[in-house]
Amino acid sequence: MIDGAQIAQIAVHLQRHAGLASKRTQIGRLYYAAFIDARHYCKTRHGFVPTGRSKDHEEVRRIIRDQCVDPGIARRLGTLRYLRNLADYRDHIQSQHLDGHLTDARKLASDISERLHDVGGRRFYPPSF
Amino acid sequence: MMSEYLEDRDDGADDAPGGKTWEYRISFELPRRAEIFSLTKYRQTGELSAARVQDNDVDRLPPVRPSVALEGYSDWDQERAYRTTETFFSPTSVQSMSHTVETIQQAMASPSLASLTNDSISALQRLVDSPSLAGLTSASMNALLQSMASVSIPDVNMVARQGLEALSAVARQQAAIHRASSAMMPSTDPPQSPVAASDVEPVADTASPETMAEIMSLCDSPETGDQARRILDRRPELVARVREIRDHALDEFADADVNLEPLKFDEWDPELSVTIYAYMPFDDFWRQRDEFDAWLDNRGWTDDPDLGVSAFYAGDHR
Repeated sequence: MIDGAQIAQIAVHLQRHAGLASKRTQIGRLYYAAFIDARHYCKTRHGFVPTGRSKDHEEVRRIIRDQCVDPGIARRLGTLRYLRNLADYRDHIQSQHLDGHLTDARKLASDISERLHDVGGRRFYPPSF
Repeated sequence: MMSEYLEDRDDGADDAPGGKTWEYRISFELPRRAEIFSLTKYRQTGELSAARVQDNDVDRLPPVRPSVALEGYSDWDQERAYRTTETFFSPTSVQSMSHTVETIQQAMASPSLASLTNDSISALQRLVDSPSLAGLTSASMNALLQSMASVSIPDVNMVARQGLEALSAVARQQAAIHRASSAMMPSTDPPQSPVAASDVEPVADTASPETMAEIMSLCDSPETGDQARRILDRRPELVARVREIRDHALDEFADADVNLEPLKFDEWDPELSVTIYAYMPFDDFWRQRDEFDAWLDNRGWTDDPDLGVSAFYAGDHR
């Protein structure tokens, strides 16, 4: 079964590639890595049963916000999701803004990874970022 | 409302194991009664206790036990927490807290006050370093509590929420009293509220054309403007909220771009969002956003079905 670390590894790999597509894809992969491990945490710790539909993205955040001892993870996951949506769906993003979003996404992923690990979940992204 | 600080250090034996490390007695003269609170930290157990003293009768509030709240945290964290707590209740600070007695009482009754962490310490330090400690009023307390709410320790978060709720309740009560008294006898005096006016949720009302124009100017396109107008017509209370969010965002993220734009990517996303594009060093942004998010949380504005709020990092400078 795929886990967040494998997905995050793709984002790390893409750092070698310059260009807008690489940056946008990195942001998307970072969110997906975070989501996968947040979902895994909700399954193993809070009995969440995924539906396999997009609503799971909202449900995972809700469970963490309402039931996890660190509800701040949910807020960060929500922000990372917005960055992912901007990166994937918004046609025009200023180059400087995109660089900012990528910096933010890496920090968010690293922070979520550490926090998930602290509450008994998996660590998927280097803590040293 | 007057307050007086009475210090009563006692390093000798006391009724709790280990004796006192320090004790502060704070006297509050409220309109119809006098209240004295005693805050004591004990040396060996680290227990922090709060008590209400009335005519030499001590009505002890539930003791605070940092060892419970700080389970799992390092000695260094605990020592830092103690130092912060002592700073928080330093004599100079205490003198200017008369307006927030209920909040102090509530916070002291919680088992987690000692669990303050980095953000809270920074906020406290800013308050303590402030040129005018007289400014340490409910607004400062509000800022402190919001900062506490942003940390990841649930107990601290809970205390902060309780404190903010207490402040908001006082503000609402004061605002209601003011409205009632204004209706009976118009006065030019400002309300004697212990909480900043901006802390009170504005009463829903129809926005003036000027205000609507101000809000519309935040929209990133005519289509967004139409969308915003539809939502705001249906929920006029959001007009004041958008303005307050914008103002607060500009305080937190100086020189930011604040827009209204659609960020609806999935069915559960709000139709419209206030977006903040901040230009500042990333580390500063990261810290400020936590504070901003905590502020939104405590206002209950994070999960509105019609209006989202997001702060994005747009670079160190324009």
